[in-house]
Amino acid sequence: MAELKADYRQSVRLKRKRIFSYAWVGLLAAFSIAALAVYYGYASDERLPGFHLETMEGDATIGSAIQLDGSYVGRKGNRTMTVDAEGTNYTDANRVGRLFILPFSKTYSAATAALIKEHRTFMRGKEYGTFEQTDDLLLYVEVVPKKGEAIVKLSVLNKKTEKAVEYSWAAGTWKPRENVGLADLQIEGKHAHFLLERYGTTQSNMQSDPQLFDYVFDLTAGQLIDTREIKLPVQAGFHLSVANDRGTSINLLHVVLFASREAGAGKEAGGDQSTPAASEKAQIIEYEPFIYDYADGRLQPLALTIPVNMEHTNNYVDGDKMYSVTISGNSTGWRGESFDITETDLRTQSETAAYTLLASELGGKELLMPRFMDGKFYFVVPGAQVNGAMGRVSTKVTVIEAASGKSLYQGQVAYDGPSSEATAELKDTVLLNLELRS
Amino acid sequence: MIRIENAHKRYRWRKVLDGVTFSAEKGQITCLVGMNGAGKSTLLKAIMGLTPLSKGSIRVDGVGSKRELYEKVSFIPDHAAMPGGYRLEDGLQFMADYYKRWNEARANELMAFFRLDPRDRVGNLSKGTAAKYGLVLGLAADTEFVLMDEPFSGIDVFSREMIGEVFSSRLIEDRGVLVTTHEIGEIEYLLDRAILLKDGKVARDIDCEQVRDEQGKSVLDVMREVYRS
Amino acid sequence: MSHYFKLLALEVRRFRYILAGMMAYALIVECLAVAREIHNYANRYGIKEGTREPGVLPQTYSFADVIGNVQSGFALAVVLPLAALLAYVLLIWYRDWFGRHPFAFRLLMVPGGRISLYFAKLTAILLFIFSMLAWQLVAMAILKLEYAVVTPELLKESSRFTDAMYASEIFKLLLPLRFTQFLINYGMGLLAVMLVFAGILLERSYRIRGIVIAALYLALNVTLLVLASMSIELPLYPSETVAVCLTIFGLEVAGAIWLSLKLITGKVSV
Repeated sequence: MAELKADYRQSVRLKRKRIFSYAWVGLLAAFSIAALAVYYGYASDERLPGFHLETMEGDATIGSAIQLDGSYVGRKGNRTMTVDAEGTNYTDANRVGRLFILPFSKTYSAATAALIKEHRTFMRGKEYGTFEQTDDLLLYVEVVPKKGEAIVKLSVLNKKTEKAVEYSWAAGTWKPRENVGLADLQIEGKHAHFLLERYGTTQSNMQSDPQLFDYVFDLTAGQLIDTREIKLPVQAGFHLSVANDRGTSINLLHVVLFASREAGAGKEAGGDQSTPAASEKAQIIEYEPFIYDYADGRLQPLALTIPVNMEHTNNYVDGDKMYSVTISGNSTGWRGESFDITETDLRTQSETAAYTLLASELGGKELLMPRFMDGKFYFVVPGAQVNGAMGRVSTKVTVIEAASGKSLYQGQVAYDGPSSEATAELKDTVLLNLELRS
Repeated sequence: MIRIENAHKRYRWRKVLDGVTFSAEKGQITCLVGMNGAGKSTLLKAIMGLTPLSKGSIRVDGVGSKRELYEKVSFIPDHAAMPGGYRLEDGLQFMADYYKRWNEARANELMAFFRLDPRDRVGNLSKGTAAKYGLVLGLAADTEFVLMDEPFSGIDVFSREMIGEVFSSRLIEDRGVLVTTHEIGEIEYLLDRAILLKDGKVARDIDCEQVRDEQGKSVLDVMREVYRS
Repeated sequence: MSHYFKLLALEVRRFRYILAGMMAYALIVECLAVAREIHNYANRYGIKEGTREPGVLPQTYSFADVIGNVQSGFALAVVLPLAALLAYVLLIWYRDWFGRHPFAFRLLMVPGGRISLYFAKLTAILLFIFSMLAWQLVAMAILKLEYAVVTPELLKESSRFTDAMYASEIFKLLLPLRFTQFLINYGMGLLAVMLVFAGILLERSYRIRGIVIAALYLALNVTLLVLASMSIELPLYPSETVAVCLTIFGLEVAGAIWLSLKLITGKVSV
């Protein structure tokens, strides 16, 4: 075979050294990783400040059940957070969910979260109903509409065996313009009482024809043993509001019912404002209180001094006592510089205690409506707002014994860092919502 | 040997290959002949895994995977197949980087023979020069088979002569060559086997020397028989 | 494995001038935007010309404030390179098929190279994206310097680095301050690139039919993702819903890779 004839020899220099080809790749990779690592390492949670609830006075175990919800508005942003005795939790994974509808956006209340921690299987999917528990049992109840009927669904968990049983029963109709809801759930001995409130809505979305039923359920037998309709002996055309028992006693269970109507509006059934002129005038509302005893189903009128601004009064029932909490003076708001609290004995129907709480005495500028649990009031006492800042430098929490007005616990939101920065960081905290765990 | 059995391929509703069976032996120059669009390029691409067959099988002796295929069979398409911005030496560097059997000395020899300037850019080459470059890229490696798609089409006479020289040189000696063309006249003297494709099938599969000796016909004559009827 | 690195180096080298160009462009536009903004602000308060009205105290202008006010300038600096990168997700494949000498022939004939080719192109795209991000971070540092130099003393105020990053709307998406958000954004981006690659390979294997199949495939993936996010309706806890979403995401990534590799090793045509 012939050789190839070549006039000239030319060697093609394969000049490019291998190392240069990889230089760009290595350079870009290293550069990217380094820059992003520094950025995310440094930015780490945006270096957001930490706060915690510090006990100033009193029993620290009371403080451990408290959680403050609010937000931090510094750093040119608005981040939701919760603060408790252990520290701060920024819950704004909602921002994560902005780009993609992610499930981080499910947030549970402190009480629910505590229950989930203890009974994970039972709590699955139970978010919208009401819970009640004793030492042995945990009850969950929901009222749902199904084919025009209201169905009460009850799940009972035996805490010791971790076994759950489901029950359900029909509780009347639930048609489009009707409202059915659970006003109260109480466990009385071996019985559970489900206080179901139902009313229709008028054209102007006002309550009409309220009805109240007590469904008595035997927990040991596992069945409904009585349905009591609570008929209030008042003329038609009243509104109903319920002050339910927040105590932990399993005896002496009552609920206080208020039938209210506008003065002079008793003649029309329904009692809604039909003329615009009437609704602009300040309404004078008459109240008729009643007390209902769960144990025997007895309904009695209650002789109670109705406070002047009843519409802005919260009533809490605890066993035999009822507490009315309202802002001093003729306030029409839900926060103020001083609160008046009266205690009424429901058996004797007389006022047994009355006292006033002053925000200034408790170390703050104003008081917000409290939470009530186990015979104690939990107040948030915010300090004054600093000029130009949205938050409060000082946010205190005071726990009062409801019967006496005595302070059991005082706590304050403190900054987890050098005290020189504390004021600057705290002034951007807005923590005005108090929640109780368990 | 490269063996193709019952190859079918459909391309845009046209049956390009309709049951093609033949083989190409090592040490022989086999030519696939056919009119334009007869499926010759498609067969070469199919052997090289550059296009799938609808049906049929292709076997290359001693080759189990695609990796071995590309080391043992080289393909010279009818264009340079390198980015236009590459210099010729960049292209040679590419081949050296990825092919274990790349023979640098032979590459230089071919570059010199074809009088190619390694500093030229691929995009600036004329058709003839590009064809020569393609041969460099395809022949410099120590492969057992070489597939060439239309090596002479559109090439000037002198370039054709040079390419023809390569065919008769030791560069091709022991290898199996499968060429496609529709201009058989130029290279008939080089061929050992000719496979005539018509309507997607193998019309004739002839041993060129035998046909010449026994029937006194040239391959061109056979072609006239097949394609004019 | 070495083929993967060689092919990756090849892809990066092919793009290096465009990448450098995009980086230079972004930096220049941002520098100009910041300079212009500071200049305008200073003029508004008459600082520069000394025509300041007496009694009008200028408010200080921190770096974070400046960034908050150059949204459109930043948008301009980011949008063009972003568009170029998005186009290149397609072009990185198609450029090998264009022209008189389609390079795809060579690339597909690299011994044992097809899988490496796919991953080389994929990681090249990722490398370009992350380099541009890293460059943006460097640019912020440079802009901070520019701020220090250009702003008159009277207006200067210090601000936190994270404030500046939080001030820009674009960064909230591209460089979110939370790392988990970053992972989610770019995880989705990676999945999108993989789906586009699968679509391209479908088109290169089956042409028109391939485009139809690609559209259906894309619709399927999107539907699955939407269903995953709707699993919030199921009685699952948040951590479980996250697990569901991650699983579906993982399956889609695996599916896209598997499909692409199957196509590139057996079905692609040149």
